[in-house]
Amino acid sequence: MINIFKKKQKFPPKNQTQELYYSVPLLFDYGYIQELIRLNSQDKAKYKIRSVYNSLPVTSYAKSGHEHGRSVNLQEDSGKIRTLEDLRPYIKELSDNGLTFIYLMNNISTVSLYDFESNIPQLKQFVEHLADIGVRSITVGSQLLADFLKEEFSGLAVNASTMMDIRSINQAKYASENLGISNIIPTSDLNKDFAFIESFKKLLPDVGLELMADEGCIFCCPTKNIHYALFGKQENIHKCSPLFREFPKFICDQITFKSPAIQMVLNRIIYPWEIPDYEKMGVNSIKLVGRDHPKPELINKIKAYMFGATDPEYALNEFYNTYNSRFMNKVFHPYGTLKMKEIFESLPKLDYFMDNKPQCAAQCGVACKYCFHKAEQIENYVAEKRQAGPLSCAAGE
Amino acid sequence: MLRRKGRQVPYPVRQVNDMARTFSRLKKLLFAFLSLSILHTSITQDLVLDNNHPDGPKAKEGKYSKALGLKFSLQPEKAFAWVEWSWPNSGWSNYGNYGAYTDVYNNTYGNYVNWNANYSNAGAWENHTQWENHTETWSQYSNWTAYSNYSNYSNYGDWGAYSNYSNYSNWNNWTPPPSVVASVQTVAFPNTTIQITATTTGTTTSVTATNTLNSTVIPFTNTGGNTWVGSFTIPAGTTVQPITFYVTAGNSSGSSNAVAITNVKHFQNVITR
Repeated sequence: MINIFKKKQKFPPKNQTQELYYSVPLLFDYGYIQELIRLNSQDKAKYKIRSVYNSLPVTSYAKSGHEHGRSVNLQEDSGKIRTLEDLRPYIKELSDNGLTFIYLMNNISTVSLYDFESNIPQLKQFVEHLADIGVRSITVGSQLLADFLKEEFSGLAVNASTMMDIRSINQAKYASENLGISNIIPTSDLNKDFAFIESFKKLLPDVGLELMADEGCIFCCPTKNIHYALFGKQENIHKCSPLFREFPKFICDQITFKSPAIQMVLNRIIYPWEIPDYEKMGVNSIKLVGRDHPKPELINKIKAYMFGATDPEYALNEFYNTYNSRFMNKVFHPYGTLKMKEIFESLPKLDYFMDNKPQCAAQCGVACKYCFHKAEQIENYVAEKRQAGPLSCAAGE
Repeated sequence: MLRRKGRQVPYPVRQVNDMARTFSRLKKLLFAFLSLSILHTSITQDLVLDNNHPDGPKAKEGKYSKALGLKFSLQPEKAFAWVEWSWPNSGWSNYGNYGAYTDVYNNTYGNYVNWNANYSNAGAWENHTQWENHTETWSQYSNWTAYSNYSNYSNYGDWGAYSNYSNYSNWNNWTPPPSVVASVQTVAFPNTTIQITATTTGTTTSVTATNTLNSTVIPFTNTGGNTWVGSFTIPAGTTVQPITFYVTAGNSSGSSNAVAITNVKHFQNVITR
């Protein structure tokens, strides 16, 4: 029956009209969801959380043939999510409170053509079931999967994960035009590449640009792809000895260990106080990582971003390792436990990147040494702090 | 005339009145029906789930369904349970030994340790409608036990201690154990029977399996050649949960190199999710 009274609804591109928002991990914990709702209701949080994301934990039974998420949260998963049906109440709770649930299928194993083809019926049924429990948006890491979803489903919003490793404007264009992707999360190496950000918004004004603010990876990691591949295909990783399994991890820690300060300045973390500038540049949303982080730390970080965007003092009062979880590694403690306000002056300034638009991937350390000078300052600061001894540390804090 | 007409009129007038009344009733009915149906649609159609996609995602027949000739004929009730392979006999399966990240992180907070424990549940996901014939073999992986030589895993804490791994060349040091254990994991659904088949090589004289649900030892029967079959019925009332079977093959002579399990598979009825 046609509804003659109903106004024809218009659905404007989602990201265009809304102000910048956060996309944060979902822990399968109602207390956590309540906390997000509480944060959203606070006036001092200018930018709200609009979407949360996760996938089924490894301990669940329902699978489409792939492990979906790149990693999972075992801490919060105490067998609560066994089947897709178990997800339904969480999705309802979220949508009742204005939060969109995004299902992650960004596992890089979906790029394997053979695995993909052999799992197509399962994938299709799996996604149908996802739609049935209220999922409207899926984040994918493979162009193939994006194409599959575009071909086999209508009305499904598809996001390009950082796993798709979009690092050029051409890739973004392809993802949008050929794969029907409506929201793109480029590699976080491009977080401070304002030439890219500007071009993106110019070329693809209707496509959402989401930046992953706090990825712990080192800048332009030489082993990123193999790391994703190894961690993605968990059924294979199990057959692999730890020596091989952990190979990429050790590489990044080893690189960091040579000079933690350099990695600190090179890491493209978007700090909370920088977010208003990103909003001005047309960035639509900010993604925070942490599905596998402990709940208190995760909430602490989300708070730092929500309150710190307009109240830098709040964000500066956090430790560096709040924003870069890899610095939780005790080897890097002298750096990880620095308070942001101690090193604020020694961090690269966003203005520099906005004004000069350095091509970091191509020039870093050769044509441009801006960050390296900053790193020296941090290094000197830490060295001085160490010399001063524990007493002054205690007095300082 | 008037009178005449008046005399003649009542019947047609009554008829007209009746028709008018009928029409009016019909009209009322029609309006009532229309209004109700409009009201109904207004209510039902206005329950918009999502601003972007009012009706939610819908499956369609795309090129993958059509061009590839794939028929998606799966029943909605069918589940995709999973089978896990793990080889607990080898040295590296003990993640606990794997102290690097534990040491590295637990100074910050204890539960950070778990961050890297995700891998224990790795599995190959399959659909339980047929026999699953795993091509992975025990003997293929048994070489991995050579890693047990690397008891210096604790050295992971020492950055740059990679040089310690020069004894990689010890691949050939592996000695087959007197009995071998392979495991297979599936999901325990109450009142279902799981049948496990093990294929062995060498002079195997017995195959048994234990499971993680209870202490039952499942004896396997030799069904000819190197094939051994055992089955286990999940007790009624059991909570749906993962179950692992550890299949042990051995021989009575205790000869250390006589036995290997080359294949373990299991069969379950269709499971509903």
